Amino acid sequence: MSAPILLGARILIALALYAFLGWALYLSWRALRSQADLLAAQKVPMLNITVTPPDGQPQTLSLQKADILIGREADCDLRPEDTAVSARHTRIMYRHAQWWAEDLGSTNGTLLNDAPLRTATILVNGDTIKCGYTLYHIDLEEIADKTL
Amino acid sequence: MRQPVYLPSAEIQSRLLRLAAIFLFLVGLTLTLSPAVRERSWQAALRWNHWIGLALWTFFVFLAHRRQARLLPDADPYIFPIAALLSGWGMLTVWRLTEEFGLRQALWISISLGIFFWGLKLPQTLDLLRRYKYVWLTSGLLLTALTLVLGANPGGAGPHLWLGCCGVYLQPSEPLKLLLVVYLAAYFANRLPLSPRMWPLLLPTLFLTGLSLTILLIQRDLGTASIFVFIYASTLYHALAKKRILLASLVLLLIFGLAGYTLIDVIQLRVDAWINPWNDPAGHAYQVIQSLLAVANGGIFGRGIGLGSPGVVPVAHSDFIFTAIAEETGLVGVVGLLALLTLLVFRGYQIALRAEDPFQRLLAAGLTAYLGAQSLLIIGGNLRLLPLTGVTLPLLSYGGSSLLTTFTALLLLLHISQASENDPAPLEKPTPYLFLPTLFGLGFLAAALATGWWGIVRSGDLLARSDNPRRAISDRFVPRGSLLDRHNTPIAATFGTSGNYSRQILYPALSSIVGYTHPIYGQAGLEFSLDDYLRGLAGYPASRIWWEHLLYGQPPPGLDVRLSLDLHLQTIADTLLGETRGAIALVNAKNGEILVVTSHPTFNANLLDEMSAQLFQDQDSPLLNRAEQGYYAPGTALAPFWLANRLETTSRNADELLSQMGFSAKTPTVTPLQMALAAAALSNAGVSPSAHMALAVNTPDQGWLILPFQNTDKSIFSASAANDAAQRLMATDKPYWEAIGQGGESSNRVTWYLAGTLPNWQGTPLALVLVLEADAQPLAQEIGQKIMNAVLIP
Repeated sequence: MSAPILLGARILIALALYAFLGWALYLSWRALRSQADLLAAQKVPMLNITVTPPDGQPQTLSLQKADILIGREADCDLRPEDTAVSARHTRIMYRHAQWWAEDLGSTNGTLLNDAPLRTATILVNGDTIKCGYTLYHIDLEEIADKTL
Repeated sequence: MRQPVYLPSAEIQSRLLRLAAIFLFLVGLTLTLSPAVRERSWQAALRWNHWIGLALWTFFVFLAHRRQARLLPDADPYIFPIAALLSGWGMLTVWRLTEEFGLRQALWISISLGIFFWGLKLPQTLDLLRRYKYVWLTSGLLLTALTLVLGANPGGAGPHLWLGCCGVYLQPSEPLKLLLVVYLAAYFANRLPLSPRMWPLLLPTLFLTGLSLTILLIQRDLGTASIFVFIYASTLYHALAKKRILLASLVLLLIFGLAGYTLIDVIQLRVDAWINPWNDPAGHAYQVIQSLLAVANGGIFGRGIGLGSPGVVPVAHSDFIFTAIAEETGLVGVVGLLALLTLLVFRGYQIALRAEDPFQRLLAAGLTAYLGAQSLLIIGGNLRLLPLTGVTLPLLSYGGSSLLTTFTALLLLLHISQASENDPAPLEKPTPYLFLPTLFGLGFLAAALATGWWGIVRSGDLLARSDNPRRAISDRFVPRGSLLDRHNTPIAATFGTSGNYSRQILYPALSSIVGYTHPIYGQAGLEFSLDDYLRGLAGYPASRIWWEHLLYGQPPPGLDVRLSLDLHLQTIADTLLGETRGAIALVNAKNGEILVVTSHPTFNANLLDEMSAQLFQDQDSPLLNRAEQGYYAPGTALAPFWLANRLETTSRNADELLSQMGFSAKTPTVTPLQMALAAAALSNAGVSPSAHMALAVNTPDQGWLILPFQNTDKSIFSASAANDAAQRLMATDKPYWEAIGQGGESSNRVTWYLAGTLPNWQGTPLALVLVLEADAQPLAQEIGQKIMNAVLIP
């Protein structure tokens, strides 16, 4: 009679072992999901950019995107009619609850408030970025909740 | 938007630990009950001692968990539960193998967890390690070097790799692995940004790693040496992210391996035993083969904890703990074990990727790679995927130094994961952190596949090997079927109680025919040829055999087999033949059933233990079954057949006749049994029957079932010629024919006596052949006639 009892115990042992594994994997998956939810919950605030082309009228755009590309490539968000601008010139991005500007190795370089942009730099309200001969004036919206 | 689910680390950890505790509790329960199943009786002495170990485990794991939740609340919640589960599983397995070692292992777990507990409080641990890297490594090297002078081996024999006294020993090469990882991580984290040139960067590390390797090579600790090479190569790869580092170290390892193969005998033996273990299964490949047999015995579901025989594999508690687990929990348990190790490696690399500075990253990756590589090296060795090296399986194998080192490594990983809540340090080349864990994952997958290969595909062939001691072990626990004569009188039977069954032959004069089944000398005779029935592997429905194997890991009780022998006639024949060297075969001329088979001199299978050496050297060959395996020159004993042939209408030439009788024509030597079957043709209207001895088997469901046999009856003479020859050879005033002949040279003369019933005999037609290894015609005739008279004229 002892053998069927032991067989039951052996089945339970296997179940416990795989419950441990299954639970660990389930929790890892849940961590993955909550990470995804957390990222999805991070709202990118509105960014107002006033673009001034070399020989044109200033124009104000409102963008709500974590990555904004400036360049002459088709997939860039801002494509100035300016031959001094490289294919992919500058990136403006939202990271760690801040807006950043980063030069993407452009031929003519990027100027932030007339100083060359050498490394990714945090943007503040009223900054002006110059790519080629085009000017981009940054107007940050007030962010209500910075605790994200 | 849905609120993200957030479970605190401490909560995850405590739930996982509860599951681990349930698992270990069930394992402990199974171990407690296992003796009752093994002996199939509740009277068996149950095992309780390992609950001391489980109590210690629970107490210290609980304490360490509480403290970790308080001091390192954001640390990785998977690492500690996995480590706790594996260490507890290992401890119970060691306990199951050797109680004394189990208790020691439980104490070592307590000490390791105590140090873990204490180490949780030291937040500056990582800084201290980094700052004094040379001090740590040098002291580790000094300790290891000390084993060259003061080294001991707690086991007595073997390499002197331990330091210590009074029953407590430490293996300094274990912590040295850890210190090497720390040193390399600290060195590369400090220097890498400064020196762009390769050689000046590598030189100090090459020197120190080389020094450690030299000490290990002098000590012949090759397993640890290969781990060192791997630690160096992997840390270099993590730091520099160049694939050619892995290639270069592989090439170097091969060169050193080849050099070692030609120069160092240990390496040569290990590699030979790996490439072709089947050449030397009892010698250098003994461990590997026994390990594979254990895996084969495990199969898919395992034999059940406490029910296998992992103890027959040498050093099962340390080097071969993996096979012990594989035998008792099967592929199901092994896949779980390998998945846990894989999860541990993946978590380790995740911690490395999230680390906040390069030192911590290199350290976490190095520690993980070291644990993963060591696990793979020994598991691969156990499964014959890699050559066997004597390293421990981290957390599971018996050994205090290994446990302490592993728990310290995991403690460092937890500290790193706690600190990594901030931003991870940037990583220029992430490839190594993806490539190596993938490699480890594939390695563990290969181990699972190999377990399936040996445990399922090759299982049957492996378990049938004669060097599988499990057959002899199950003979002590499962009764073997009896061999009975034609009137159901037992000839050989099993006596005793479960756990102590022993086989006895009740009619020892038949020993050379019945044979023996012996744990050392194996099987012979009928015990060998009828083994499947006697052992319960045939005659039962397949489902019943499968079920018994699942429950007990053993076949069902053996079945009784009825033989055609007649013990009454057998006694007469044995008494008459006496001390004379020779053999007798009496067969039923109609259906070929063997009634009497005698071979003298014989031995007593019950006394095999006491007289084996003598038996194997005896000039008289008492082990030989002369009636069936003794080949004698027939000489003039063939005369009755020449006579019958000449009485045919068209007689054949000698070669044709001999080949038709089944004798070899070139050098005609025949066994007494062959001769008896040929003689039966004269008493059975020219037809020679096919011989058989096993008549029926007593199955539980259908009672006695007739055993099939291959019918090879062949007509040698026409009925008239056979009858005519028998009549002409009739003995004076006797109801049978007889003939006497001689064969062989003068130095090894044999005398034949052939007899058989006459065509008009009303009873069972019989044929008798007697051969004496002597020139003794009157004696042969006297014995032969006495037997025929006893059989035919009761």
